Amino acid sequence: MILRIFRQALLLGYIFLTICALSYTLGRKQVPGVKWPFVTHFYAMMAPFQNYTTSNAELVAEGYRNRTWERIDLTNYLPHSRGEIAIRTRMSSFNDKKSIYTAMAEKLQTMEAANGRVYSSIRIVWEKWPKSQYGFYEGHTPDDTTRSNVTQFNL
Amino acid sequence: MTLLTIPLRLKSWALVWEHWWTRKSYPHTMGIIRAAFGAWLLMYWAIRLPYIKILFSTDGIVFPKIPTYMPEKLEWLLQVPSPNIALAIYCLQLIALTTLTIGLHTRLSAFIAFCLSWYYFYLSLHLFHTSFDRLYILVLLVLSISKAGEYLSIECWEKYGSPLKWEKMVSIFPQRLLAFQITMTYFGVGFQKLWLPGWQGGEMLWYSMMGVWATPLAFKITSYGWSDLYHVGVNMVKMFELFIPFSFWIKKGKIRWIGMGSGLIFHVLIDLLLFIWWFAILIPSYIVFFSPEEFHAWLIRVSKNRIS
Repeated sequence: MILRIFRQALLLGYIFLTICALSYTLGRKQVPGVKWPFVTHFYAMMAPFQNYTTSNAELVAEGYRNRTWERIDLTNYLPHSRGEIAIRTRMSSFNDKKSIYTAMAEKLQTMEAANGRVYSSIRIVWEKWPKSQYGFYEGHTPDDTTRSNVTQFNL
Repeated sequence: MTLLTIPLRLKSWALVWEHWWTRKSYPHTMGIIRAAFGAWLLMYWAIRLPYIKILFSTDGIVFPKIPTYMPEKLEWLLQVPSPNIALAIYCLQLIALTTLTIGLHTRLSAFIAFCLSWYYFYLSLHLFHTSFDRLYILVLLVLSISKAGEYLSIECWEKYGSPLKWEKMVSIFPQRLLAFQITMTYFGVGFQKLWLPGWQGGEMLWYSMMGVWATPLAFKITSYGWSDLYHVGVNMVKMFELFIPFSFWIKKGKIRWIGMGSGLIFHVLIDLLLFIWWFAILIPSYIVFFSPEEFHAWLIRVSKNRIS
């Protein structure tokens, strides 16, 4: 009997949270009194791929040595697909993104030094360029690419 | 209906509800789901083997996220581990997924894999914050409360002499939970597209096929230029996703099969045009929409045909 009650309670709780998630997914309405962290998991299970952009963007890390900025190959440290790197490097789980990017730059400095490339500074930059129908980097030209500095770590 | 009959009606509805959600039935469906999901997750984790230290240890760029509901005393659990500890935890995950797949200590294996998947989510995967990682975690939790080891497992081999033999009827509850969640996932994904601004025209498809997820085939197609067919494509996607969650439950005619065929086409197209392959496991999972009785009867028919 206790197992039956427990199972039904679990089921009703699960259905309730799913309805809360559905309410937000379909109408952007949060059920009053229900804390969002409890609903997040259920909402995220039904809300992929909601929008698109007209430009491509990529996080770029650059190290300074011999009076030039050299591009660091991030795939050595983020061994994922291009899409996964793009999403991960947005650091969207964190409110204070700048401190995370600075920690990332500091970590990169250490890891690059361990591989024999000692940089006095590491900077993190977002590059953005218009999408092209012919390839991911086809629109990545000096004229069309905009760069926004995110952070810089100096030794 | 008089007032006196209301309690009787309520009781009968409660019985129907309970029967639908929790009756005992054949173990075959959940046995197959366990083996399929286990093998899929084993592959999903095993392909990370060459990079495990970079992905989940102090050797790499790892930023854990402490969930808001986590007690302060337990926050040490999400400290980035040293490479050797990370490797040990990863090995434990692979062992748990292997034993889950082959059906050895099924519930314990699923529970360990669930706990470790939760750990990995907050250690690193939260930055990717995907729907499929969350679905995988839920499926592992459901498997850890199911008796999915009662068919097609080492446990059956030990108990009955063959992994294909079985004796115990099991609760349908885990199967219903999975079916409900898959329905809700398609339902939410499909219906939100009716109003999401991005999904009101073919531009969604056009620009997605040139984005970070695009495959070479997608770029080959976009290289031919814009066409109104992209509007048709987006409307087809919406129709598929609106139809699929309902169709799975309709046994009349061939509607269920058409829904599953639509799901198959939909996922194969996603895999061909975008590097988003993680939802493909949903295709074999459609068997949760067949009742265990139906599935058992089908298995018997197949085995009789083989013998004859």
